[in-house]
Amino acid sequence: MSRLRTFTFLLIILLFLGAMPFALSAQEEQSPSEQEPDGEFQERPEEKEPPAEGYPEEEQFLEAYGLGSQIFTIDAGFFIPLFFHFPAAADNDDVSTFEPAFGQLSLGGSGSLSWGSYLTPRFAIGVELAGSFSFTPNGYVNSLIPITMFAEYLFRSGSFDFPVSLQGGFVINRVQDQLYMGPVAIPGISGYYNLNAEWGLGLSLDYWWVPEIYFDKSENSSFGNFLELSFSARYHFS
Amino acid sequence: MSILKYKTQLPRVMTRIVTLALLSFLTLFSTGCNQDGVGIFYTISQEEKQITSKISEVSVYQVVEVGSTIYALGGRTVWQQSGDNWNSLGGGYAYNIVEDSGTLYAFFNNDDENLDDGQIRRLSGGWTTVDDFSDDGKLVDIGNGAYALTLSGGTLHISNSLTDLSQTTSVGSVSIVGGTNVGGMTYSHYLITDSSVYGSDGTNLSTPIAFTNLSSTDKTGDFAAITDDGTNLYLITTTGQVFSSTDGSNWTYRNSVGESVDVDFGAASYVTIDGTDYLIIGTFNGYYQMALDGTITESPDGYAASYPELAEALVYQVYQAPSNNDIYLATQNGLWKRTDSGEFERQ
Repeated sequence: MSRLRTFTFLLIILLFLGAMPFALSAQEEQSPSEQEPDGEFQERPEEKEPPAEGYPEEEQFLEAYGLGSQIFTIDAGFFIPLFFHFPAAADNDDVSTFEPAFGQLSLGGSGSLSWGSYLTPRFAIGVELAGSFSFTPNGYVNSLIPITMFAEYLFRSGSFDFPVSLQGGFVINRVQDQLYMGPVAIPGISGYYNLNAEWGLGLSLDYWWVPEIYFDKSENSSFGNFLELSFSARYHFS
Repeated sequence: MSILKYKTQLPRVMTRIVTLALLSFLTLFSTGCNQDGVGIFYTISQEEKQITSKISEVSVYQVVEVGSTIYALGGRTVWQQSGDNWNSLGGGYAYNIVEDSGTLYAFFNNDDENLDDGQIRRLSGGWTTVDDFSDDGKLVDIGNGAYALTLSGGTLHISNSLTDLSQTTSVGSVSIVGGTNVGGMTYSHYLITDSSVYGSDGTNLSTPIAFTNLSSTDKTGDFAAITDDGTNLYLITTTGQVFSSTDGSNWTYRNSVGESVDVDFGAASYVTIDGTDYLIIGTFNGYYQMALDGTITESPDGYAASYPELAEALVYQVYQAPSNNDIYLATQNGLWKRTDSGEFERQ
């Protein structure tokens, strides 16, 4: 039953945030000169004949993205618990410095929505809302909901994009009746094949580093380490 | 891209980013941390896989061992353990279970619409009625083969036979909460109501024994449970106080677990763990283990990460099986067994 609630909750989040790109695009200002006249056909611009001397051999290379280019990305995939790091394990008889997480948490699921904007042809920043879930040995759900800002640098090769990113923000961490809000850092790398000028499909690999710091019971402070492997679709627009 | 366009768009993009950053940091600074929990990743790393069976879905009130078989009273039904499984024996609404001479007996109340009165039934293949009463009641094992039955009408019957309790003369009009038997004292059995201590020889009931508190700490609350280690009696109050006595009259305050204790099924008991004597006191929020000198050796804070549902459960009864010294906790959140390694298994 609890698993059904979790799936329903994630579905609602995805549906809700699915409207984000449309809201964003609606906010974009259009100059009067860019708007089509109502009820009138636009004349097709004349196609120019190639110059008699031919095109120059060295064409100027144009970057695909630039200032004002925007990206919207949707991810869904697997969430793999790796280990918990307890730096003060010496003060806690119950734990070791590194406790395996995969035996205590199941293979989980994850999803995210992000929006970003390029500042240069290779550098973009933006925001991301993600979510993950996995199950404890007795079926309780551990959910992590990071809300982050990200910066990414883009490597390109032919029709492929390889953004390397770093996210930072805060995460809502929950299991049973415990709730913790704290920082999170997520470095990651993706690979996209651009189907056309707007759409790219690919894979993403992200490492979730989730500190859970307590000042009053420091022996229980820990760092969760997780891996997210997801399928990604990326939409480019201006 | 022209310089002009760059200059036009850059402030707009930067404004968006700065706004998002400010909102993120404001949200981060307004968040709170896990004040009451022991740590989410710590809890997950400590969580033990628990056995789940049908009995894990009901409140369990009592446990008793008959021969080498464990029976439990859960959800008003008697359950029999069979390996890792538990099977409901049915038969109506049981309110108490006791063991006598290798046989399980249960008291059935008329909450069951098919019963007009209270009945004591013996499990022998199925349930066989061995005695019945005009009232509902509460059946308590007071030790050494003796039983006390308090009927709703107020009469108390004490006997070493469960088949003729209705024929015994009422020995008083008091409502017994619990009882135990001990050697070397004035009486072989000591029984408690919510406010008084009584002695009994297994058949009759004494007048109330004056409760003399030898300590400077005042008694608070009513009496909830009584147990003994063979030479000392231990009284636990509904407020979690523990008193001990060597004569049933003069009592010394030992300690308090600081939690409320249930009165219905014997929420505290003397137990032996690896040759050491303890009291285990069930409360409205988990159990406490106390050395006989009053030192608390285990409390819910210590096992909440491993067994959160046990740490927050109302414990109705603490029971140590005679055959193998396994300790059972009958709780609002199912039945828990403590194994030799000190771990708990949810049944």
